[in-house]
Amino acid sequence: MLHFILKRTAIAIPTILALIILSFTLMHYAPGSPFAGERPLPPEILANLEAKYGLDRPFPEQMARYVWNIITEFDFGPSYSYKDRTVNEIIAQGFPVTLAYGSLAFLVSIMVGIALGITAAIHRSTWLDSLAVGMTVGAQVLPNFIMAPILVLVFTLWLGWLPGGGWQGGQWPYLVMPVIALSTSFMASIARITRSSMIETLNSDFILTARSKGLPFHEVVIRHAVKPSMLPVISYLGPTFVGLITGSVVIDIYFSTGGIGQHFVNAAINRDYPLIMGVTILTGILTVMFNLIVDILYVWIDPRIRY
Amino acid sequence: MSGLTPESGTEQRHISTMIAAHLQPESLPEPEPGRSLWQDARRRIRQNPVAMASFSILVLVGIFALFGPIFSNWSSEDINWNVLGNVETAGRPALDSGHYFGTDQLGRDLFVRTAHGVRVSMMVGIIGALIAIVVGTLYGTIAGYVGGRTDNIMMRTVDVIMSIPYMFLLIILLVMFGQSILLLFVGIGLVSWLDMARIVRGQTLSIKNREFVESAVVIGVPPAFIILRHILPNLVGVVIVYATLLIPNMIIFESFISFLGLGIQEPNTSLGVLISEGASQMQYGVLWQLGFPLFFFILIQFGFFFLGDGIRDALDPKDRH
Amino acid sequence: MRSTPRIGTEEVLLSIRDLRVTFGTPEGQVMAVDGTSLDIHPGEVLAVVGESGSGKSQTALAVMGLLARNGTSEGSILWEGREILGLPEYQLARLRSEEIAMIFQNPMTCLNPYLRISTQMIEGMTMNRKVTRAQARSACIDMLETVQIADAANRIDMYPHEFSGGMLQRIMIAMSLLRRPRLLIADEPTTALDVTVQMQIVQMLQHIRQKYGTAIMLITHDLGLVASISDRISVMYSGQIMESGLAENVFSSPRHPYTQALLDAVPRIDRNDRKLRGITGEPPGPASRTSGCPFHLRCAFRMTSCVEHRPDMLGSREHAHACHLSNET
Repeated sequence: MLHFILKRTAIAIPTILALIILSFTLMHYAPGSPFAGERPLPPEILANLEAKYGLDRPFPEQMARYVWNIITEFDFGPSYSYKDRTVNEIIAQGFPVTLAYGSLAFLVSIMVGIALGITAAIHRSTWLDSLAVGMTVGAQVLPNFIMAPILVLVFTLWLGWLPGGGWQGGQWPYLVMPVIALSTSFMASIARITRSSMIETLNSDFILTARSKGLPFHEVVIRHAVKPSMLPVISYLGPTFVGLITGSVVIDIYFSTGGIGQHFVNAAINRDYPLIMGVTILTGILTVMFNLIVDILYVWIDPRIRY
Repeated sequence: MSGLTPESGTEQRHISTMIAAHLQPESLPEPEPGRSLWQDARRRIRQNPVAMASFSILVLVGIFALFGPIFSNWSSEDINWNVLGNVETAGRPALDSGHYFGTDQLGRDLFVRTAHGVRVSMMVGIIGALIAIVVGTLYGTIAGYVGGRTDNIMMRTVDVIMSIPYMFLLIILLVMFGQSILLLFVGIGLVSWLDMARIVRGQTLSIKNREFVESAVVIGVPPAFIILRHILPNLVGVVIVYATLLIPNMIIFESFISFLGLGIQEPNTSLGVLISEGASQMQYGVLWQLGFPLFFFILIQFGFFFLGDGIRDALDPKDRH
Repeated sequence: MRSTPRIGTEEVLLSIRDLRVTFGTPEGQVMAVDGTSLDIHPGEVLAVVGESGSGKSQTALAVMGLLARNGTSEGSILWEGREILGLPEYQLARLRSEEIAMIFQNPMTCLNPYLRISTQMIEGMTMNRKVTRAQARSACIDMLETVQIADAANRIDMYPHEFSGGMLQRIMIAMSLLRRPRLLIADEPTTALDVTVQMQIVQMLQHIRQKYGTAIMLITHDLGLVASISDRISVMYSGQIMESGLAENVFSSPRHPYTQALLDAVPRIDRNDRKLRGITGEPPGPASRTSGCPFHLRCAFRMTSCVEHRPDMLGSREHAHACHLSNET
């Protein structure tokens, strides 16, 4: 097990490095200067600016310094568009917001999805199953950017129950719609995956054995069927994570929550390269680390995989 | 395995030819012998009311997208100046004004624009699926067939690309190189083939170990020919199913980018753009601007979803219960 | 070596009367078991012999109340004189837990690959909380030693994939015996195993029967296997019993043409001709049950009555069969 974790970590580190180098190279050779405004700046001011941000140095040196700062201090440098603020400060401000509604959405997707999937599977071919399947199929065609306006239409414009946007330190009325909008389609996918894998598990021979031992059906499900049928769900957690991060862009923009996604789109429009890179690399590292945890979880659950 | 040549011995070659001849019906689904498989599938899908209804709906949506504008006096760029500034009342959906779906905030006819948007979205979906079919199938077949180290490196690369939040990269690309439909397709092409490659590789691995491929290898059929003749035909089913399910995903993908304002640009439009515009106007009492595009979006999503499901059931009947 | 079966006594452990098992499929109703009757007495080994698809496994699953969800059973299944067909699930579960155990064809897939052997064995015992985990665990280790798993105290914590097929089947047997069931249903327990291991399992069953007095319903298609340990034999074909009786009677003087053909198909080393004999034709699938004698399509002695009426089961408990041919003579 330890060997496996070390091996997987050894693969994760070059992945992160490759991501950093790739995004830096892309940014470096990108057309359009961050300092190109309405009218061109005088050359001496431009030179000063470039010297200030170290852009007059040769490319390898710039990259080495950038990578070094990230590794040693987790420092992404200064922001171009927000003067006097570092990328780290901006991320520190937006990240907790994204983390708050993102992790809630993650939990909701998993818990509701699994519960729905298991319910449908053990009540297969009954009205409960049809209801659950219908709900998941419906929810699957409602991605976050569709859900968000529909929710606002119903709960803000028609019913007037919830505020249509804002954050207010994450009070619950401001959390409800972002979490629902973000989690619906993933919840549906997880429910579908859980249902079909649970049905497959319930058809296996070892379930028959467990039942032949006289275990009541609900105990058979809890003790024997849940663990094996969670494996496909676990493999889907990686894509869910990426999807939630991506979806946070829509949430931040539509609900003005002030999370990291909003900064990202602003940075992209302002060509604030350090900020773009900072956000991309941070989410990349998070994704790689998350996938690492998922892989370890997978091996931990399935005793047949041994590395 | 592929190192074996026809010189391995005439007797063995003779036996293998016999084996190959014996197994041929399984390896050649397309011309005469495999007919039953596909006919069977076609018969089953015709008996599946949900799949057939989905298919008909998709066809109707397609007809609407292609020929709908003929029945309107407006083009997608015409601005009805009488409506402008008074869209909530004058721009309502009505038959006598000629705006069957109403107008958008700029007084442009929504019926024509929705047809236009459906056309663009469908095109994006289908082209995205085609890229996935070509690139993903090629990549997956090669990785699966060659195997070993090559396979390992190729699939690890897929893993690495998948672990990058691709939407961020795409947004960066769109910002860097300016927004264009071409770049949108490049972006979609970058990500759509990944899952397809994985699925195709898995299938290839299992087909590779079947007897008819082994016998072809033993009699010295070159790898490229084996892939073309024995592996690809057996992949058709899974590729079709997955491609059908991929089209709606690509439409969502495009709509997402367009929703952020980074995708399809004026005067072009897509369902994502229309939904985004409708959503930004809904507090002004012009709900039809959200309603009609959303209706078609959901119709298309359901259509492809159930059609794909039906095709899968038709091709793999044992999976049905 | 056979222990004396108590056939003369009136005591019957399990009595199946006119059992019909049907499955609802998209293509219509399929009858897997078509009027089967069986008796099992305490401590005896009853072999149920038949080709695949003859309904023997479904008969067993109907007894356990474990038919697939689209299956229904009708008729009567009496456990010690009490009707158990149609009992509510919790009572059936109790019956499975305390009285009737079952082992299956493929031990490799019948144990949960994600759980340790110890977990899977102990859970059946601690369920009603009469024993502690520690007591249950030591009972499990004892039982594993009984089925000759060496180093049981350590291996009990291993996972199924760390054992061979033969060992897994012995573990399955051990697991099934933990609650000292009165009846053990063994559904093709050796079919998935190597020939060399098959005899081990059969001897193990014999040993169990002698040690605990467990009655065994041994379902198999392998007549050779049956010969060595069974007290009585029932021959099944197409969901019906063709012939049943004491093992020696059925083996020495088979009366039904199907049994005769079946016995003829067993290659015997003491016979001079080396030709393998089969039965021509295919057994009818569960979807195509006929009205008359189910064997008439393949029978060498077919008469018109065979096509029209189903023959009755005639004879005594020692030997009975269902065939127009000998019923008439």
